[in-house]
This record gives sequence, C-alpha cells and structure tokens, in this order.
Amino acid sequence: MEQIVKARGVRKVYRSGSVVEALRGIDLDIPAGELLAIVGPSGSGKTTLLNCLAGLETIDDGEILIGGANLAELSDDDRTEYRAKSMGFVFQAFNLLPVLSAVENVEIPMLLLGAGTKETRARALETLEMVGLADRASHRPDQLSGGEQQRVAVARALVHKPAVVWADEPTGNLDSESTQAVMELFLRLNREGQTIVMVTHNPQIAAAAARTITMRDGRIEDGGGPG
Amino acid sequence: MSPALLVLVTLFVLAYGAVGIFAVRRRLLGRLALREAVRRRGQTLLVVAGLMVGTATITAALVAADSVGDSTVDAFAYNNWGYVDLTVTATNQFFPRDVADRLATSPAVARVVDGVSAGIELVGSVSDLTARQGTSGITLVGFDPGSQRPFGAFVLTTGRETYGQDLAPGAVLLSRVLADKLQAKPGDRLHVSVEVPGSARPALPVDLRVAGIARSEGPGAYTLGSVVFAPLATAQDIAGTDLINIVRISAPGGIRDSVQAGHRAAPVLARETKSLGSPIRLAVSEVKAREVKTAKDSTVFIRALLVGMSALVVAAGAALVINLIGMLAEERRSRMGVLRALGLKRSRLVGLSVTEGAIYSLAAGVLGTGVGIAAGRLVAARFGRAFAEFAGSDFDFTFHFSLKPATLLAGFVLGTLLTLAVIFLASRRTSRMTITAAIRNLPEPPPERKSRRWRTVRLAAFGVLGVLGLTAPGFPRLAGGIALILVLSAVARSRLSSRTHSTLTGLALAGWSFAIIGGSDPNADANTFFLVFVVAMLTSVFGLTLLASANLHVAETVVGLLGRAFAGLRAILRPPLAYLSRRPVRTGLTTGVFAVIVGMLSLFAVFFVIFRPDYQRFGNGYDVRVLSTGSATVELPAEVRADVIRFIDIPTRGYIGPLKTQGGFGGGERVFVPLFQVGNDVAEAPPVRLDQRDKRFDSDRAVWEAVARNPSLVVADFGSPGQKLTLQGRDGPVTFTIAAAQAFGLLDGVFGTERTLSPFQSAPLGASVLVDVRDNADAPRVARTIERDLFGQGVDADSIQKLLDTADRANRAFFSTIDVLMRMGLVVGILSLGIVGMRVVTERRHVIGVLRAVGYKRRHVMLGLMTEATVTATIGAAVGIVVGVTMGYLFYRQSASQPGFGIDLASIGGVLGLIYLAVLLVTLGPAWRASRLSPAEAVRYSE
Ligand SMILES: Nc1ncnc2c1ncn2[C@@H]1O[C@H](COP(=O)(O)OP(=O)(O)OP(=O)(O)O)[C@@H](O)[C@H]1O
Ligand SMILES: [Mg+2]
Repeated sequence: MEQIVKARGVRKVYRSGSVVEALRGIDLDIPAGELLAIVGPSGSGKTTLLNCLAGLETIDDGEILIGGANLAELSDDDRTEYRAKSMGFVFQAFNLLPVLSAVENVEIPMLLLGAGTKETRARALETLEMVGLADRASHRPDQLSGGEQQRVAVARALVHKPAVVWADEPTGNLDSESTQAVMELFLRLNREGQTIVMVTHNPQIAAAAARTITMRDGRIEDGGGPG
Repeated sequence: MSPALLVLVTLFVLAYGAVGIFAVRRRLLGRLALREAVRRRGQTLLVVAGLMVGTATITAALVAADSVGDSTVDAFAYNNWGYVDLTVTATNQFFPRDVADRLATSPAVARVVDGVSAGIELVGSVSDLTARQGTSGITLVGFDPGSQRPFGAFVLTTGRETYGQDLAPGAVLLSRVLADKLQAKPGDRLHVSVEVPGSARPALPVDLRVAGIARSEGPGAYTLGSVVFAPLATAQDIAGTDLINIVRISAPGGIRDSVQAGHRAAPVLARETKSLGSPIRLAVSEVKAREVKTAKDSTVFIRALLVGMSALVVAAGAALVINLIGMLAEERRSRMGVLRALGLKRSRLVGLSVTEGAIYSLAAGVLGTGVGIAAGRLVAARFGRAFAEFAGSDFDFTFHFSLKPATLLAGFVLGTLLTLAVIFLASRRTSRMTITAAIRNLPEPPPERKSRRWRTVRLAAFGVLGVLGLTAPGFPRLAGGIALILVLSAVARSRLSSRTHSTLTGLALAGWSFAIIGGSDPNADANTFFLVFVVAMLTSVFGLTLLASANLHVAETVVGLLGRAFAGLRAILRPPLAYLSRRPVRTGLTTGVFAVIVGMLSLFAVFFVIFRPDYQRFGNGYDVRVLSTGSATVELPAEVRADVIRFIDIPTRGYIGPLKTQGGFGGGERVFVPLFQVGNDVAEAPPVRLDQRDKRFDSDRAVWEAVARNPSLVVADFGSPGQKLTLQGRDGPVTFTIAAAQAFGLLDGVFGTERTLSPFQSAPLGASVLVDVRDNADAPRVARTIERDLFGQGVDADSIQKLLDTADRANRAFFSTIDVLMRMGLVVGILSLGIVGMRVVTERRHVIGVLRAVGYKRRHVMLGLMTEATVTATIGAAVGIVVGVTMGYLFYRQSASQPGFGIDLASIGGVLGLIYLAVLLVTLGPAWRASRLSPAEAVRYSE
C-alpha cells in the first residue's frame, strides 16, 4: 500500500528555558486510507509528533518523507504550499476565524489554491452539507455550538480533498453528545477512503481505528514501527 | 485658585484618594497592580506615552492661550496706556485747558489721583524733511511737561530721561516705531500736518526738530504706534488751536497695579467734572480697566479655538487610551480569569486595573505636562509670529511666553482625571469576562442582553431630553438631535439588519451634524461656536466611520473582483478585511482618530483656498493705494499721471477713540479707525470688492445701495456681517450694523455715507486714493514715486499687490498656529495603529497559527496585516476628508461672496503621504513578528 508519511529516527528538543526532549527517535509509516489513532498520557509528545509530521514544526534529527519529499529539505514556503494542497487540520480549539461565517471559513483552503468564486462556494456548501451543517452556512462561530464549530473545522479540513487530515484532540473541548457526532463523522470519512491521523483520549475511537499507537516519554511504546 | 480649578482639584483628590485607599486596603491587589505596571518596561513606556497625549494637548492649549492673553493685555492695556488710568474727553471735540487745571487743583480729586495732565491726541501725517520720508496714520500726542512727572519720564535711546521741560521750542520726540518708519535721527527737521475741522485759528507752519527717539517704555510706549510726542504748546500750534481734547489722569500705583485705584477715583472725577458746568459734554472713562477687559475679551476667541482644537485631539487620545486598556486586558485575560475563579469580585478586578491605570496616568500626567509646556511654547511662538505679521511695522507688539502654576495644575489635573475616567470605563468593559473562557484563553462568548425594562426607561428619558433639546438653538439642538437619533436607532435595531442599521444611524448622525453647522450662527460667541463645532465634528466623524465600517464588505467585493485576476489574493485579504468590517467598534476607534485629525487638516486646506486673497478681485482693478491722514487733498504728481488710467479719492476721517466690536476683535479704548466717506452713488463705482456679505444681500451692489440708503449700515474690515460696532460720536456712542466686510489689508476701516459718518465731523480729515495704472506700468514704482513726491504731505503709497501679500502672510501665519496641535493629533493616530498592530500579534496568535497551518505563507500574513492597517488609515482619511471638506463648504456657503470654493490639494496630499509612511513604519514591526509566529501556535492554548 502507498505510504503517505514515512518517519525515521525523528527527534525534537524544545530549548525554551529548560531542555525538553519531546520526541526521542520516532519511526512511523502511515499508509493511505488509514485511520491512525495516537494515544498516550499528557506530555508524552503526541501533539509534538503530529506537528512535526505535518510540517508545522521543524525537527532536530531524523527524517520525514511526505509524498516522497523530505520535509527538512523544503523551505518554509514550500512546506506551507504543501500543507495548503495536501493536508487538512482540525485542532482542539481556535479552529475558525471568529469574524468569518461558517461557509467563509470553509472556503479558505479553496481560495488559497486559487479556485474560482463560484466553484469555491459550491464546493464549500457541499462539504458543509456532508458534515450536516448546510443550514448553518452563514452563521458565525460564536453562533454555533462547540460540536458544530468542530464539524465546520472538519469541513474546512476536507474541502480541498487533501491527502491526509491531521486532528489533534478534536473532541477535547466537547461534551459527549458532540463528541459522538464528530467521531462518527471521522469514521465515516475514513470509510470513504480519507487518510486521518488523530491524537485522541477517546478509547472508543481508538478502538475503532485501524491502528493505534501509544506514546510515552517521547517514544512510541506500542503499535509503531514501519508499516 | 478659580472655582473651576478648585472643583477639578477636589475631584482629582477624591478620585486618586479612592484609588489610593483601595490600594492600601487591598494590599495584595495594590501590590499586584504595581507589579503589573512595572513588569514589562517597553509596554509601560508605550502606555504612558499614549496616556500622556491628553494632558500634553490640554496643557499646550492652555499655556498657549495664556501667552496670547497675557501678551495682549500687557501690550494693549498696560504698555498702550502706561501710567494713564482714566481720561476726560469730549467725544472728538476740543475743550478749554481750564478743565484740566480745575480738576488738578480740586482737593477731592487730588486725594484720589496722582496726576492730572492736559493733552491733545490727533491723527495726522508727518514728513521728515531731512531723511525725505513721510508717512500717514500717525498720532500727534501733545503732553504737558509741567504735569508730566506722575506719568513717568520719556527714556530716549541715548539713555537720557526727560519730562519735556528741557525741550527747546519746536523740539519733539518720536516713538520708536515712527522713527524706524521715517529712518529719522535726532536733529532731523520735521513737518507734521493735521487738518482739524472748524479749528479756531489756522494751523501755523511750525518748524519742528527731532529732539530724540523715545524707548518703548513708560510714556514712550503710549499708543504702541507711530507717535510724535510734542509739548502741549507745540502741539496746539501744529493743530491750530488753544484748546485741548483730552485730560489724562494717573491713579496711584504703577503701570500694572493702578486699575483698582483708578476705579475708586472714577466717581470722584465724574462728580467734579460735572460740577465744572462745561457746555461741552465731558466724559470720564476708565480707559485702562476697560482696555484690560477688551484685551481679555479679544482673546476669548483664540482661547476657545485652542481649547476646541485640543478637545478634538483629546477625543482622539481617549480612543487611544481605550485601545491601550484593551491591549493590557487582552494580555492579562487568563491571569485575571484565574483571579476571578479564585474568588475576586468583578468590582475588585476593575479596582485592580484602575489602580494600575492610576499609576500610569499619574506618570503620564507629569510627563504630559512637560511635553505640553514644550508644545505650548511652539504654539505660542506661532501666535507670536502671527501677531507680528498682523501688527507689521505699525505696532510695537512684543509677544511673550507665560507659564502660570495654576494653568499647569489645571492641565495636569484635567488631563489625568480624563485619562482615569476613560481607564475606569474601559476597565469596566474589559472586566466583563466569562471566567472559564478567560482561563483557557478561549474566545469570549457573546454577552447576554441586559434587562429590557431599564433599557426602555433609559431610552424614554433620552428621548424626552432630546425633544427638549431640539427647542433651543445652538448646542442643545445639536445634542438633542443626536440623542433622538440614538434613541430611534436603538429602537430600530432589532428590526433592521445590522448593516442597514449602522448605515442609517451613521448617515443620520453625520447629516444632522452637517445641518447644524450649515445653519449655525456665525456671530454666536466663540465658546458656543466651538462647542457646537467640536461636537458636530466628532459626531459626523463617528457617524461616517460607523457607515464606512458597516459597509466594508464593499471593499471585500472589490477585492473579490480583483481576485479573479489574482487568484489567491482573495484568500489572503479575506481575514484582514473581515476583521475590519466585523469588529466595527475597534476599527472605528482607530479610523475615528485619523478622521478627526484629517478632517481638521482638510478643513484648513479648504480655508487656505477660500480665504486666499484674489488680487484681481479684491484689488477691484486698482493697483496702488495712497493714504493721507494729514490733509484732505492729494494731487498725484505729474510724473505718474501718464501711467494712471483712473483713480478714486475717498475723503477719510481720522477717528481716534473707543471702538467696540461684537466679536471683541480690534476693539479698544483708543483705536485709530479710518472712516471712509462714500457718496450716495457708491454702488455705481464701489471702491472695494466685498469679501463677506450679510445673507440679506445677494450682491456687492445690493450692499452698497443699502449702505447709501440706510445710515446705520456700514462696510467694515473687522467683525462679521450682521455684527454691530460702536464708535464715540459727537453726541455719544453711535452703533452701526456691518452689512458686509471688505478683505482686510486693503482699506482697513469703516465705509459709510456722509450722513452715516456725520457724528464724526470733528475728526481730522484726510484722503484715501486708489489708483488704477496702465497694464504695463510698474505699480510699485508708481507707488514709490508718489510717496517720494508727496513726502512733504506725509502720504503712504503702496502697491495693492504688496498690501494683499502682507495680509495673506498674516492670514497664513494665523492658520499655522493650529498646526502643532494637529500634529500631536496625527501622532495619536499613528500610535493607535501601532498599538492595534501589537494587539493583533498577541490576540490573534492562534488564528494566525491556524492560517499558517492551512497554508498561508509568511508573506501572506504580513501582507494581510499591512493591508488591515492601510485600509484602516484610508477609511479614516476618507471620512476625515469628507467631513472636513463638507464643513469647509458649509462655512464657505455662510460667507456669501468668497472668490470660489476649492481645496488646497498639496497640503492634504502632504498629510496623506505622511500618514501612509508612518503607517508603514509602525505596522512593519508587528506584521513581521506576526509572520514569524509558528504554525504550531494554532495548537497550543496557553500564553
Ligand atoms: N513550545 C514548547 N516549548 C517547550 N516545551 C514544550 C513546547 N511544546 C511542548 N513542550 C513539551 O514537550 C512535551 C510534549 O508536549 P506535547 O504537547 O507534545 O504533549 P501531548 O502528548 O500532546 O500532551 P497533552 O495530552 O497534554 O496534549 C511536554 O513535556 C511539553 O511540556
Ligand atoms: Mg497535546
């Protein structure tokens, strides 16, 4: 199966004040179409790993190949362009621009890729429909519930059909009902073939995932390794 | 200490006392406030600099106003009159010297005064036969050497002092101003001419010699102008009379501290004068006391102007303070949220930030007072220059800078109190937080609606007040209308989309302000006028800013269209434009600051054009002006006659005496006012073009016809059409209504018919001649030739171009006085943008992180923020230009006959260039920092 992400010996050290070794040698392959769940205790390096794999942060050692390209060798602009084209993101909070309506938020990735106005609007509405929020398109984030906001974020992550969607505790701020809705959405997307990498504390989704890796102290304790 | 200042100081003590007690009683919070205040040095500095603006501007305005006021009183009341406190005169008529002698010997009078002295004061011409220079509009001051002692000695430039007793027959002294004009030296032969109507004996040709030049002090500064000081007998010979026309009286005390004593002496003198039983009506006048009052009144306008302009800058400063408090609150939000969670009441939280703010505002107050003194000095210096331009070489006006402790205290107290009040209000707003959201630094959920009942009661109260306000003209009407619009807007809010709602409210506010300005009474007193002007200016700026912010989607649409050509640009510009249009309050605070300042500058840019003298127009086709105050006949020399196409000869009376004007400008107790006597057919060939007409007249011709018909109507170069002016006539005060004003600087004085001016027939007669020369003739040369040929008659001849240029310089110097304050305002605007930029970096870290994560490049982030700042400044500038130009047009419409409407584009262009440059400079830093934020920021919560 085609590997979307290939990580070898990845190390990450934070040096703000005290030195924290957040990642201490990570080897990981992520094949296309997989739903990978990353679990582990707080501070174990889950977020750091996700950020490094997605190219949001630079690494100190090792290499990450994405779609065949070595992330470390790309310039910031190239990495950014790559993210714009091939990745989608859902974070725990602050996903949406508070001043833009739901549909305007969703349109951003399309517009960044230079899509036309009409095509963008149509595609954004279609995606909102897919996450069940067609009727909330013109609402602003502060007029949506937390669960709805996260579903808008999911729509934004999907609208340009990225190769992989990164999600860092997307339900961390939600009540159980909303969590359920968002999780079901992710599972459905994955069934339709979307590659998803998700940090989660939710045992249910971890169980539903094709593969789960457990992190501890900057290392993959369980379920890692190439393929 | 004045009552107002006392109230301010009490408020200050109460406010800061309360803060102090809070800090002592809640020691922990007090310490926390202090910690916060000194935690980040750079930020503290910025905050203090921002809070300083209000105090600095107020102080600058007050200090400058003091300097103008004190200089004016010193010059026009004290130096002008010297030791003379009271006068006895007979309304431009002569009377026997016996009046003075009998007053001097009266024991009752002697008890209350220092000196009584007979004198003469007449307007005439002089020629220096040695230097071959002559001039008009001089005052012949006859003084009695025998009783001069209490009035002080003339100090000559050589250092010699004289009371006049040692002057040889025919010896006279010149004032410094006159000596400069004539380039006269001691020993020069002199000829003085005055034409006194109905004088008892013909004037003798008197052989005069300059015995010395008096320094501008004591009696030598008398009238501040061009004076020939002659012993009384000599003066009587020159005037051809045995009579006198003034008795000067000095009350005990020096030049500056004798007003009270003069006031006590006045009733005694009035009684004694009456008991003389003179057939001519004699009047005792407290000239110095009245001159002090007139001088003070005349600076009311300038004080109101300065305070009004500084109020605009202070309003801009308040917006800046709100911005700064917002920035501090954002930075501390999660910390404060934790304190609230731990049990700190909201009121204590407000107390905490007000305590911190109090520390800043005190520091800012001290600093601001210092900066204010410096800025006030600059403004005062501009006024000094403007006064010097107006006075030209005709007046001995020295401008000095005044620094009064009470003024500094007022500036400091007012500035810090205003700042503290704004801090308090802003803190109350920012303290409204949802604790859980604050702790986790999540966006604030929308606030809940307040109780409806209270809202209804408040709206109803405002509505009633508004309706009441409408019934009274001026400020109450303006305020009432604003209140009503706001009430209606609040009621309609739920029924309209927010865009329509803001647009309509904004339009209504701006429209109402413009309507009030358009219909405002230009003759209202200065304080009322500026109050209305400042509030209307702020309201229209507010309204148009609201309108612009609500319709920013237009900009988004425009960018959308552009986006078709430049794919991706739309994505990049969408967030910044959305932030602008959907955070209208914050956008409005910053754009409003720019709008106010650019508005004022645009208004001045209009004034520059509409008040620019138009040579062709105002000159009325004439090229040379000849003035003769010493004789009524002016024979143009043969040498120039070939160059002359036509000329007009206007008999001119040299009125010298009290002038009362409605606006206070130009008034005084002894003012030289040329009275130009025009014929009943003046409308056929008017001497001058008019600059401003009363609204009743739709043409210059209509004005002149009315002046010919109606003996209470005149044309004058001072005051505004519709105002009144009062002169002292033969039988008492005579009041005229100003029908129109001619441009100043050409023929300054009052135009009326013989009938109109008949109460002044005893004033000396002279002539004013306007000459039209051939197109290719050299007007300045013609003027020089006339002056040279007629120097024996003491005429002044100038090219009209030169006169108008001089007037233009003076006008410009006057406008430039406000520049310094406006520049302080610009600094406020730029600081605001810088602060907004910094706020963006702290506040939008997560958003920027998300944008970077989903694919915005560094330069996109930068471009977005720069666009945001530029658009903000542009909206501000656009609103400002619209407001300024509209107001300029409204003022232009009120003064009917200005040459034409226009805008000095160069000056606006310069300001805009400056603004954009500064915007670039202050946002580059924050934008660059924002672009360096890591995309991983999107994921992390805490600070
Ligand atoms: N910017 C940073 N500077 C310094 N240390 C950091 C930084 N970001 C993360 N760390 C540290 O790196 C380690 C891993 O952090 P990370 O956020 O990846 O953990 P996590 O597994 O995502 O935890 P959680 O479940 O609480 O989100 C932690 O010890 C954390 O304190
Ligand atoms: Mg994490």
